[in-house]
Amino acid sequence: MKTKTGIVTALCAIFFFCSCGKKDESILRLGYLQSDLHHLPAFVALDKGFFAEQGLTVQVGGVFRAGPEEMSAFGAGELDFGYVGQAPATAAYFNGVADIQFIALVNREGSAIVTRSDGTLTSVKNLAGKTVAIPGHATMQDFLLRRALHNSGMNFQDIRPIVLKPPEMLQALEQKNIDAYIAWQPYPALALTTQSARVLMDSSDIWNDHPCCVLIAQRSLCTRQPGSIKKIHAAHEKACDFIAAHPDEAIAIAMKYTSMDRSVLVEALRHIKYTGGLDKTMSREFVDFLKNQNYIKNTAYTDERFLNMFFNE
Amino acid sequence: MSLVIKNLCKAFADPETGVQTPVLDTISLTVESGGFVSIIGPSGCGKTTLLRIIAGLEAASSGEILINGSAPVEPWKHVGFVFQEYALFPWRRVWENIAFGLEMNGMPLSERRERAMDIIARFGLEGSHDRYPRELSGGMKQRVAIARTMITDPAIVLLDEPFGALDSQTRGQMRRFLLDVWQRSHTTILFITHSIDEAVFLSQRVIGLSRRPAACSLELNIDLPYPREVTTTRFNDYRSKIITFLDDQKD
Amino acid sequence: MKPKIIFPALILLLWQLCTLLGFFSEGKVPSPLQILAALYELAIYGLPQGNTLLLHCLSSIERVGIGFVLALAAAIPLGIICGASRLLREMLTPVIETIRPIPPLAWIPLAILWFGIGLKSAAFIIFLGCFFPILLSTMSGVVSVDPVLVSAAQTLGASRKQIFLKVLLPGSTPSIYTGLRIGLGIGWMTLVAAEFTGVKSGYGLGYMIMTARDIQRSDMVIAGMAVIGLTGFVLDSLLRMLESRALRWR
Repeated sequence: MKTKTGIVTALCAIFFFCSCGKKDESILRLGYLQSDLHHLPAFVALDKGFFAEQGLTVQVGGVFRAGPEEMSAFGAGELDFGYVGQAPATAAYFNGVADIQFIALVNREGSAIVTRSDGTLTSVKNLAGKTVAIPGHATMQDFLLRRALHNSGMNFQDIRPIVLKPPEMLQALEQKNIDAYIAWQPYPALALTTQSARVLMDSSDIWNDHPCCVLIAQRSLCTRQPGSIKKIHAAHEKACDFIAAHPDEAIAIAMKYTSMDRSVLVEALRHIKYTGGLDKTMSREFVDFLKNQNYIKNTAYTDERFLNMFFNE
Repeated sequence: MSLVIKNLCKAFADPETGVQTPVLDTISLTVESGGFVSIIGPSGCGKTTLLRIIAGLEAASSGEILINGSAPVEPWKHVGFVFQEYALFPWRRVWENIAFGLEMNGMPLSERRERAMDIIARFGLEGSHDRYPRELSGGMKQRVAIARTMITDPAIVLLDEPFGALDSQTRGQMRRFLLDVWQRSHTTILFITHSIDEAVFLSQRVIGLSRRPAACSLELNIDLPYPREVTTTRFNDYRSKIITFLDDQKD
Repeated sequence: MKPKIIFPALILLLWQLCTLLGFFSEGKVPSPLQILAALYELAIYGLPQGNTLLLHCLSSIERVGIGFVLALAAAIPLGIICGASRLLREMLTPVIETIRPIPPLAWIPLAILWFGIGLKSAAFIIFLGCFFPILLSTMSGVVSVDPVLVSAAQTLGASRKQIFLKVLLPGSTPSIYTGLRIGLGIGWMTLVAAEFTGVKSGYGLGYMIMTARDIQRSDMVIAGMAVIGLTGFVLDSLLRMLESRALRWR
């Protein structure tokens, strides 16, 4: 009797898990991160109608507080394409959570190590023995911090890392719970405006031209609608060009989507390079980092094939 | 020690309306030192309240209680109480229950354990000293309760229908047991019961309380030698007198 | 074989089968074997590397232990006093009933402000979870102590303090133990929320799950959840053993 009930329950569970959502094929659902300045091209493309210009019907499928959440949405099939950090996208792909392809870069650089202005830390070497906050393990910022330490002849074990969300980092710094933090713009710029913090090192000095956020899409979309992918790429590149050519308007759009002060955004934008294109070499470096740290499982596929499947060219 | 109650009155005030309900109406009675007096009366007439006032658990509205001629400041020093529900502490073993009063008084552990084991032997409770109350029969529990009271050598012992919850055979045993305890210790006893047989069997004098507000309506000397035969004519005479009294109270 | 072993074993078997047949995608619904493999990884290699499962577990137990012990040290005496005094009960009940429904999670910003990041703020969150069940059970335990026992103690010469310690406290222990078990259960469930306050030491089961989630390792997430569930069960069993020893007299 109990066995029968068990089988029925299990069957119900299977149906639940296998249920697919129906959607209208012509509407493309876009995802991006809340108030994330790195995703400015998305805001610009939406605001100026660049997607519509290309003949695409784009809907905002979700606004997320963090990369992993957005990747879960991709895994659940709720998004078609989106702007997200390279780190969560890579981890999600290689851990089998979401079958996506890396269409284009979104920005390079745009992070910084921040410390108290009245503190004694003047260089990365001084971070030895100190508590440094990172936005998460396996993030690009985690990787950047390790590179910075390595460049100064130090080890990750020489510091005490702690994971905090970027909005909490400044307060923790001011209350002396941490000695320094590394975060993406505009959080370093925000810290500067308070006068209580200063930048120890910009990420451009840690790993010049490093990729940060990427444009991804469901692999199924790439195979079924390669034309749409080209159009998305075109709209994205137009948005990047627009930001370079019309900074004031770009800042106005940024203010609308991030609710940050103009002065903060002006400062932050100085450190971000928006771009299209792909960068396989640097991306590979990041994949290797994740593998070394055991953040990516060993998969059944050979590394090369899987890696190549990652990039849409 | 003798117990003298003079014109004791007690009224309960309703906490919300303030209306006074008289419960005890000018009770006066005396128990000589070493005497055994029973109180009998209809249910709810205030017998328990009377005992609680004597024990110091409640205050009288007016009147006096004299123990050996003076009003005690700390009644518990002289007065012991045996409850109908045994009131044994379930988390304490038998010997620990019995030693409770000694413990409250500050007696050291080894001494009070010795005293407890001694009274356990005298009261026929050997072998049960480490048991918990839930493991005991009703009769044994009440013996433990009586031992707990007697171990502090109280001058006066109040018993509130102590055998009411027991079956008749055990009741018979317990009556003889109590009689034995009293005769050996010569303590003064005031005993509440519903059982007429019990009252006549045990006490030197029976006092009957009327319905609320209770007053002493009957005082009967039981002039029989101990141990008493329940089947004799004289026993029956006393019994009839009490039955008549109780019947009157019903109207 | 007992039904309570057969039923879960059957579910696991069915689950593994479904994954093999491809009903579930491995990344989203890891199979039982994958979860076991993840458990092994967590135990031997750790997440982040070097931070093994055992250390995470002990660190979490430490946090919950501190919060729990502080809670019972505060709640039991307060509960006994409030249980014994009607006036105090009436004064404090509205305050207690207003604060109690606030979920511990909501206290996190204040906790960080008051205690900084680390063990103290996490223990505080757990303290809040444990405190109220223990307080309320102690209070109701005292209130339900048979008044005749208090009378008996009085006739045997017990002072007010002795009545508290020798009658009310032991008399309410069954209720207190119930409160302790509920409190520990809630405190343990609050663990993951508590570790959101920021884990300075880098150890903790909630922290481990968060990291697993950040790197999209759902097999590790589920393995972590299983460990949390199992540890909670073990802690509760220990408490129950203590309870049955202490309440032998029942």
